[in-house]
Amino acid sequence: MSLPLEPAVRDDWHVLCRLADLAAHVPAGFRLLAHDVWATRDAKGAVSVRSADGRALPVTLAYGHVFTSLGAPARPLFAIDEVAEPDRRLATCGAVRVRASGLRLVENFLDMAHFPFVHTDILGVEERPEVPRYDTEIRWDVDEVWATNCRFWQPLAAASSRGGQMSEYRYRVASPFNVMLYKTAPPDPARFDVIGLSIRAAEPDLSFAYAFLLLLDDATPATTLIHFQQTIFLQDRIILENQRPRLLPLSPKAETPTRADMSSVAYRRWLKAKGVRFGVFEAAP
Amino acid sequence: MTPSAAAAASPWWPVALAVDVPAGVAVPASLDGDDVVVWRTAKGELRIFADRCPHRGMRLSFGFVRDETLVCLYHGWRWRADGGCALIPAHPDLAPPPSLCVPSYPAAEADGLIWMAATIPGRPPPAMTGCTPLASLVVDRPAAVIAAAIAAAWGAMDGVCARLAEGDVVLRMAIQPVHAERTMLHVLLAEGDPLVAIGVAEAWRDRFEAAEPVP
Amino acid sequence: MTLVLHDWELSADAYRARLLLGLLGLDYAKVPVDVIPGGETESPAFRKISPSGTLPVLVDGDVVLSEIAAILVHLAETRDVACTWLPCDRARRAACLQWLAFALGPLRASDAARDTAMFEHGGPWREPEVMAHRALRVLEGRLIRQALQGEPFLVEGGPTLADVAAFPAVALAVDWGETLTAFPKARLWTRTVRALPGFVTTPGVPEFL
Repeated sequence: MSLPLEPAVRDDWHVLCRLADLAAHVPAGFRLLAHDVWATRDAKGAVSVRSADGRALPVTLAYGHVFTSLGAPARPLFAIDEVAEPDRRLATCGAVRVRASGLRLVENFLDMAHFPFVHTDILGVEERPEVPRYDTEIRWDVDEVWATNCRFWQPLAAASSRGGQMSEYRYRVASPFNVMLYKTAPPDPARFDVIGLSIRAAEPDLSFAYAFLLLLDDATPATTLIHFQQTIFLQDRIILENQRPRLLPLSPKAETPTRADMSSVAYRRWLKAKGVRFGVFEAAP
Repeated sequence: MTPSAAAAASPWWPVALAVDVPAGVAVPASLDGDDVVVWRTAKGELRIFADRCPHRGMRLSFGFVRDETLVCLYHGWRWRADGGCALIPAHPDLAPPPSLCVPSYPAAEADGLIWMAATIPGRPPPAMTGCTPLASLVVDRPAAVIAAAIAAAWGAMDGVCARLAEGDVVLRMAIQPVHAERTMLHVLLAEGDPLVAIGVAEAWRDRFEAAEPVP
Repeated sequence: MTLVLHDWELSADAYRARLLLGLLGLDYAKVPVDVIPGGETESPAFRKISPSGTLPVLVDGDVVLSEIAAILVHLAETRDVACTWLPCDRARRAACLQWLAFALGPLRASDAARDTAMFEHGGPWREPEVMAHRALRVLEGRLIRQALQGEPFLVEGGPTLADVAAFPAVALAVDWGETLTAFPKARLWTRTVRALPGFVTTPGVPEFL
């Protein structure tokens, strides 16, 4: 049997599934942090989640998804203020299974340098691969990691794009397995689209990625938005399944970061400070 | 034959047919559980690297060859034939430090086979003079089982190489232990018709897969 | 007459159709279908054009086709005046149909293994990875024999529907962890297909192929 879960992971909120995927009165089983849990939705829409030993687990419904915790969360689920704006649309993209640590998925989400090579001619072009300097900080007061003032040239930044743009990004790691970005909205460059990625870490090296969009775009059909996001994620998935090791090393010597990887450096440092072990690569003694 | 015992006999291991790694192409291979990328520059120089980009651990066999460099798919880092880093595209003005390099292995090409070694060997890889490379066939059995089956039918192997004769066909095989449960047979034709010979080789593959485990 | 393809970017069968449309240089309109997570292929509206819920669906005037084999053959018969993709020569046509059926039969285990690996929805296949591995061996055996005769494609004399139908199963196998190390001739063949004029890629097809 594996080690007991560390508090930083056990007491955190984790996505379980899309709310729409729970049929009324039909319990659905999910693997979460190497544990089995069961979710049920009643006729009124209320969701209950139980552990395999029958314990009732905390539940928060937000952003079209069910979030739960195996422990006792010290704070509510991360808030995204934009969700309250009347002209925002929510789209959920479903789950994609990936044989990799959920931490690798979060780190890839924070990464801009791969756009020209993995998302060629969509989120980047090979002719403009430079990552300008940006700022990162660990905000200990709210226990989050932020990367701000991020800029990248994108030929097709979103499903609604009509041409290239210098996209501005802000990245926010709200908890080890929940990350989001705020990105120039093509219909209104003064405001930001929000793209969230929540990971259900089923096992240390097996993850389910749930993406959701909070967009200003009101013209593009929802299916087109979802397909755009799925295309991007499938391109990422090839990378994620073929990084070695599958788990995320936290030792600064294990891999070779550069200035473009400042967000990943901050993320790893923060994970280490919080004592996160689930999905972390630990070299053989 | 365990891989280590065979390594004492010959430090070279076959990893591919030369024809299956043309110029400008990178292919993955595994030797005894270690993943490598076998690639040729655009000019055709052969190299074998550890299959892992030092930057973020991405398998380099997913990358592509651009001119004389192997490019990592993830962030486009370019690796020269000498293993050194030529370019980090996110920082085009930065000269990569000389210490930044991918581990590489000795590689050799002889008689249509590509061979690798763990350390620089003092002698050339086994000769397969006069043979024509036919195909590489996967066998989902350990190399030791195959070696035992060959020994029973054709006599002891010569290092990682065997000679099989059936009807008008004479085959040479070089054996690559991929991992604990998988072996690649690199098959060369010494005598006979190639299309008949490939059928003979496949039939032997099936017999190896049916062979009893070595106690 | 505008061709319409009811499409999902992540479907291997839809990619087969897009690949042939690209190779034939045809313009067409895409109608995106929310297969996952929306389950739109189960909806009554979709079932009107695809009785068993299969995707893609090709609409060509009055002709509505929801089986990929029919879509590929229909496009070849109506749009390929040079008879390249479905050869007129009897022997080549027979070989093309043989390997087309193989690609849309046993080799489709690779699609199921991919659906299982990505979405845990592999359909009725049992142990699709084992079945896919067997099918890839058969494909490799064919390509070894073709290579020995100087033929780079599944059928002698050039590319056919058989290559179009087989390509997604082989190139997207990486999505279920099969990197084709055991199938070197299949790897080389994917490069040859990629080099065809009009080739289109899809997310998941690795750059190295």
